[in-house]
Amino acid sequence: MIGSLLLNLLAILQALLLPVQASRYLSALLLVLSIYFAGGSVGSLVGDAYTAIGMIAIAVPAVVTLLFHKNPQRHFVLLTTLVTVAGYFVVASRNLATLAMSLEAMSLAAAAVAFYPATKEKVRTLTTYLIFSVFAAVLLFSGLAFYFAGTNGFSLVEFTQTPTAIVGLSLILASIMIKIAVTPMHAWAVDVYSLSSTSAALYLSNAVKAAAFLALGILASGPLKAAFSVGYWQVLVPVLALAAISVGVGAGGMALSDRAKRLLAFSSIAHAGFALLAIASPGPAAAAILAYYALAYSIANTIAFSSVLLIKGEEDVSIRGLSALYKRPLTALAFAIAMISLLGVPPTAGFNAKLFALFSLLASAQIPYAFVLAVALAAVVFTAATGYGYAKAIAAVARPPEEEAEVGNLSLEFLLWILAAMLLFLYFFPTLPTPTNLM
Amino acid sequence: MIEVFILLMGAATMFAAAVLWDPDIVRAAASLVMVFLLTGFALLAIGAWFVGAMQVLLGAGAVAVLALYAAITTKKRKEVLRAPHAGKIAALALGILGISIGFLTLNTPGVLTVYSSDTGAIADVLFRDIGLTVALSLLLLVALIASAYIIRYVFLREVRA
Amino acid sequence: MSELGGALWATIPLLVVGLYGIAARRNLVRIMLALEIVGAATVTMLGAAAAAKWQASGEVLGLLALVAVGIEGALLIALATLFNEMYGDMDVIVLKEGGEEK
Repeated sequence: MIGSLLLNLLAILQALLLPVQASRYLSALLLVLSIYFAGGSVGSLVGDAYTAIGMIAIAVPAVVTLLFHKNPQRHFVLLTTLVTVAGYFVVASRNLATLAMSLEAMSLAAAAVAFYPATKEKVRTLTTYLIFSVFAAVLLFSGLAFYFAGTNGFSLVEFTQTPTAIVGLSLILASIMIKIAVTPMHAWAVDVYSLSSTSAALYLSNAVKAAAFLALGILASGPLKAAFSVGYWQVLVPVLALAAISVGVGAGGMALSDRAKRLLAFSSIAHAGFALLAIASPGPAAAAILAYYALAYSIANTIAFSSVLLIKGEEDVSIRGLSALYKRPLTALAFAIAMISLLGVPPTAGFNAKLFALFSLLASAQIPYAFVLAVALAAVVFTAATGYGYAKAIAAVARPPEEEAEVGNLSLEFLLWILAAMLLFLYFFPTLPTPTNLM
Repeated sequence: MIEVFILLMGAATMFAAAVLWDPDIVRAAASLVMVFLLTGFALLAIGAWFVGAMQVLLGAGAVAVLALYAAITTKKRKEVLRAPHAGKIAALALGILGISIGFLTLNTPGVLTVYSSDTGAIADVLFRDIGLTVALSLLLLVALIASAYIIRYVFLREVRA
Repeated sequence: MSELGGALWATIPLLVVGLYGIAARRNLVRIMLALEIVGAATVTMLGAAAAAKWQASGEVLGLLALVAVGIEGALLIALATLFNEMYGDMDVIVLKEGGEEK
C-alpha cells in the first residue's frame, strides 16, 4: 500500500506542477499503476482483493475522462486525480474514522468537479451537489458520534449492542444512501448528471458511486452484520423499501426522458436501489456482491457516457441522436452490450450482479419473508420496466442517422470495445472479493 | 458537573434558535460564535478540555468568524425568512426524529465522573494510525484546492468583463 | 437515565435545530450557520461520550468532525461569495427565478 500511496502523491504533485497536456496522461498512468502496488497495509488503509476491485471500478472512468476529454483545463486533471485518490482511500479504509474522512474528501472534491468547466450554467450543479453533500456529511458525522457513544470506539468489528450504536449506524447508512442517490434523496443526481459537462457526469456517476457502493460493503461486513446477529434487523426494513421504490423512480424517469444524459441519470438511481438490496443479509458475501456490482455498473455506465462523449463531446445528446453510432458497428455493439448489462440480461456482468443482489436479498433469514418477497418482486418488476428506457437507446443506435454526423475517435472506441469485452468476461468469470483486516 | 453541562447546552440551543430565526444575518452569525463558545465551555465543564478548547479556538475563533465575515460582506443584510412549503413537514419529521433518538439513547451507559483529557493518549490515537493521518491530510488538500477552484470563477468573471 | 444519556438529551435539541436549518433555509450563509450548529452538537456529543467512557479516541474523533464540518462550511462560504458577486444575493432561490446576473 505504501507504494500505492507514493504514486498517488506523485500523481497529485505532477497534476499541480506539469502542463496539462503532459499531466493528464501521466496522471492516468500513475493512477492505474497504483492499483498494481496496492498490496499490504498502511495503518487502517488495507490493500486486498476487495480494495483492488474497488480501485479498478474507480480507475476505469478516471482513465477515460483523463485521456479523452477534449482540451481539459488544468484544474480538471487535478480535481479528477484528487477524487480518484480519495476514492481509493474509501475502498481501502478499514475503520470508521478513516472511512468518514475519505468519504468527505471524495465528496468535496466531487462537488468541485461538478462545477467544471467554471461557467454560469454550472453554478446550479455545484449548488445542488454541495447542499446535498453537506446534508450527507452532517448525517455521517452525527451518526459517527452516536456510534461512538454506543460502542466506545470507531472500530468496525468491536460492536457493543446498544440502541445508541444502532441509531448511529442508521444515520451513517442514511448518509451513504444520499451519496448513492436513493429515493427520496435522488433529486440531486438528476440535476448534476444531466446538467454538468459529459466528462464530469461520466466521472461523477461512476467513480463516486462505485466508491460509495464499496463503503456500503465495508459497513455491511462490519457493524451491520454485528447488529443483525443480535437481532436488530428492523434497521433495514425502511432501507429495503426505499431501495425498491428507487428502482421504480428510476424506471419511471427513464421512460419519460428523451435526453441521453438524463436517461443515464435515472438509470443510476435505479441501480443505486438495486445494489442496496444486497445488504439485506449483511456480511462479507454482501460486500463481495456490492464490489462486483460496482465494477459491472462502473464499466457499463462508462461505456454509455463515453458514447455521448464520442458523439457530442461535452454537450447533451437526444436519444435519437445516438443513432450517429450506426456508422460504427463495433462501437454500437459495445454500446448495446453496455445497455443490456445495465438492464441485467445474460451474458453480461450486469445480469450476474443483479442476480447475486437478489440472492442476497432472498437469503435474508431474519427479515419477514413476505416483506422480502414483496421487495424482490417490486425490484424485478421495476427493473423490467427500466428495459423500456434501455430499449429506446438500443433502438436508436440500430437505426441509420437522419442527418450526417461525423463520429470518430479510434482510440476511445478501441477502449470501449475492450470494456465491453470485459463485461462479457466478468459474466463467465465473476470475481467476488471480501474485505479483510477490518479494524 | 452534568448540571453545568446541561445548563450551558440549554443556553447554546437558545442561541442556535437565534441563528435560524434572526432576520439580521450578521446578528445570526454572531449568535453562532456564542453557540460555539457555550458548547466549548460545556465540554470544559465535564473535563474534555482538549476538544473543548478546540471548539473555542477552531469553532468560535475560525469557523464562526469566517461566517461572520461572509455575513458582513453580504449585500442584503436583512433577510425575509421564507421557508419552503415543506418546511413545516420537515420540522415535524425532525421533531419526531429527535424525540425518538432521545428515547433510544436515554440509557447509553456512561458516567461523567472527573475525566481529564490526556494529551499523550490523544496524540497516540491521532498518529498511531498513519492511514487516518493520510486521509485527513488529503481532506485538507482537497478543501484548499476545491475552494480555490470555486472562488477563482469570481476573478474569471472580472477578467472576462 | 444514565449520565451520558442525559448529556445526549441536552445535545439533541441543538442537532435538531441545525438539521431543520439545513432543510428549511435557502440563504447559503444561513445554511452554513445551520451546518456549523450541527457540527457543534456533534463535537459536543463526541466530547461527552469521550469523558463518560474515558476514551481519548472520542476527542480525536471530535477534532476530526470539527475540521471536516468546518471545511464543508468553508466551501459553502466560497459558494456564497460567488453568489454575492454574481447575483448580489445569497439566496439559492435566484437559481430558480432564472438567475438574473448583475
